Amino acid sequence: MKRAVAAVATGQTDHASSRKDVGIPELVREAVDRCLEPRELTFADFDAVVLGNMEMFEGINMVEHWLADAIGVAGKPLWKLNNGGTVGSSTAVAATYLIASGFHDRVLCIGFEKQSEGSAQSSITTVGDPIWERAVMAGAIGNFAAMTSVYVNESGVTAEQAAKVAVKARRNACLNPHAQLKMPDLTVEQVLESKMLAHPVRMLDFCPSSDGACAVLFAAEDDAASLASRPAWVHAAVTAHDQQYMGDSPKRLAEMRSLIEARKRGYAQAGIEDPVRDLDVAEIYEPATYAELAMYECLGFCEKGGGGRFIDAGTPLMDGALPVNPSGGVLSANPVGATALIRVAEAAMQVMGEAGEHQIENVRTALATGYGGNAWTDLLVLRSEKP
Amino acid sequence: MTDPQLIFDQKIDLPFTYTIGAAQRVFLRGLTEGKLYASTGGGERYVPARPFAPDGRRLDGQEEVAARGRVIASTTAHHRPDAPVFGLVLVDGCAVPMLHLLESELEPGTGVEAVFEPDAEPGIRAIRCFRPAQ
Amino acid sequence: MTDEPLRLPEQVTLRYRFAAGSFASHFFTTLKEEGRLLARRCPNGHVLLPPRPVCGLCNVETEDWVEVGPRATLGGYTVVHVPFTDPMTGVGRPVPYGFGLIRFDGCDTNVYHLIDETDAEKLRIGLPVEPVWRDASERTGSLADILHFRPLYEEDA
Repeated sequence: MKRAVAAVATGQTDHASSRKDVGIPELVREAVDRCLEPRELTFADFDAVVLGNMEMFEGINMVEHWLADAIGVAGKPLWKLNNGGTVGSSTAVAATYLIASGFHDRVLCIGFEKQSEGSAQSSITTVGDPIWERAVMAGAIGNFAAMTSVYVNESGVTAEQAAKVAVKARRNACLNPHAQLKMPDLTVEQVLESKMLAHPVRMLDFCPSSDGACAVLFAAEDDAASLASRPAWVHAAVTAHDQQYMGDSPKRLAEMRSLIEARKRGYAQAGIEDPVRDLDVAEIYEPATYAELAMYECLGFCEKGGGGRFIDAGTPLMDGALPVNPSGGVLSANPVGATALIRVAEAAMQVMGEAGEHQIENVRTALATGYGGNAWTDLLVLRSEKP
Repeated sequence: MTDPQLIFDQKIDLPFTYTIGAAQRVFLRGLTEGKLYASTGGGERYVPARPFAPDGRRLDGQEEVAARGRVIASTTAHHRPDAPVFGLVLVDGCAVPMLHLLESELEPGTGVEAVFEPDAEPGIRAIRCFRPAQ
Repeated sequence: MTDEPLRLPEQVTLRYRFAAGSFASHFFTTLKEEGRLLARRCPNGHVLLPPRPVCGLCNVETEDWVEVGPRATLGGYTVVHVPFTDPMTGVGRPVPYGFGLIRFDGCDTNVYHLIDETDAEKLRIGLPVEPVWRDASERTGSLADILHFRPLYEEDA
């Protein structure tokens, strides 16, 4: 990279199933204020914004214009991204490139969603190809569950192993003031008895629908070092995509081509050879329990087919060798436009020592991933040392 | 290939329910009572109410203002049924004009007053239109 | 004045007229009039549905049409219990319903469609299935001309 880039400040709302007290502008501003105010920064302290949102969920097009006063961009350059669940982390990848290239010095990334205001399943129909796919859609859950059947067939992971991911997530969430679903006493049995949504995915296997926003400020070189005592330096920022039709890659969980591609490039950029050894914490985008098991494999945390055994061994738990999603992850809060940026924010917080009760000790290297749409993937590696 | 070129007709219904923020709740409910509330901050007033000024500043205050102003511009939307007249109206004392309906096309500078819809639900249409000030 | 939450409903109805393009038009015309399924093949032998001008695996143009199916195998499956209202028709699909990835014989990719089975335990990856067609008189030239896929348990070894 031409210039070293770091995350220097983060802010999030307290994510909820429905925020009846605020409209979208106030919701977004909450996250922006929480990012800037503790460091006594104002709108004069950044020179560009990258905004992420799935506009169809709230039905407000050109949302960046509508939110201009809420996010203080009058007269400033702004880019709006709209690429599914990945959008939040894509704003971070974009900010990295904008600063590394020298075109901007300080970029504020913002992601948000107010899902209580729309019908996500109806809106998701518009993601389907109008000619080929819309007539037989089954919402996100039908698509996801069909992919899961392929992964289960290939890996042999069990419903119990998947349920362990749900228990980990909702118990970790109890240590995160921003998480929506906190369940300190959740058991595997309760997950296995929860309502079946689409075989084999049950209610407690799946992420919630949320209202929430997140903001992360990125800066370069010495400026970053002056803004934060322990900046989270970007050592890798990559993005990868896959083919366009939903049926083109049935192994989208079993062999997540875009995640594998992003992993190879990202690990090479950051010099990661053995992820369990070289990473201290990972915040990954897991829309459901089975996805997290598959992602352990695609990220090289374990061998192919070993996702279930990986959680059986306790490695991704808070006290394990590689804690995965100490924040509670997507399973605990999923305001889609913000979710992947929350992964970046949480990874940055871990490096910066700002994760409070869910802080993992001695974090030098953190991983963040984004997942969405037709398996678009982003991957970032953040470190306490400058590259 | 000499097949007919097919067209796929589609209609998609998307239902939304928008949550209204604090300043706008007061504004929209005020309209049902025949009152206009402006958002205030830094010596400026804004109608319709809004949480932030164009420069991003919070507008923390709220005060009732007279529902009168002057026309900045108007136009007739001939392409719409009933050819409604739209106008930009600068409510007295406010920083930027608001868009709403006018009873008829009016010259810029004309003094106008709001006509409130009786028994309206909270919403911008609780103002029916603006007409020349009586 | 009350400060209770205030929420305002709004329904947005979007209308579109999509041009299907030459590949889709050829596929659906053949489907409707002849009941045959045509996929596109690239020079490296990948057979693709939906038919398309470029093979995404090789990034080269596809070069000819190949008939596939009508028999198929299940590439992935689920039984959905969450009610789903089709936003294009307003019609709710009765739950539970089978749904999954269908790989027509001879084709390298899958298409999503409905499966005529509601017991997930009876389904498996690789299960042979066949399309159940609407009456020719009801066909409109879309994938819904196939009602769903019927598992061929009697042929499953």
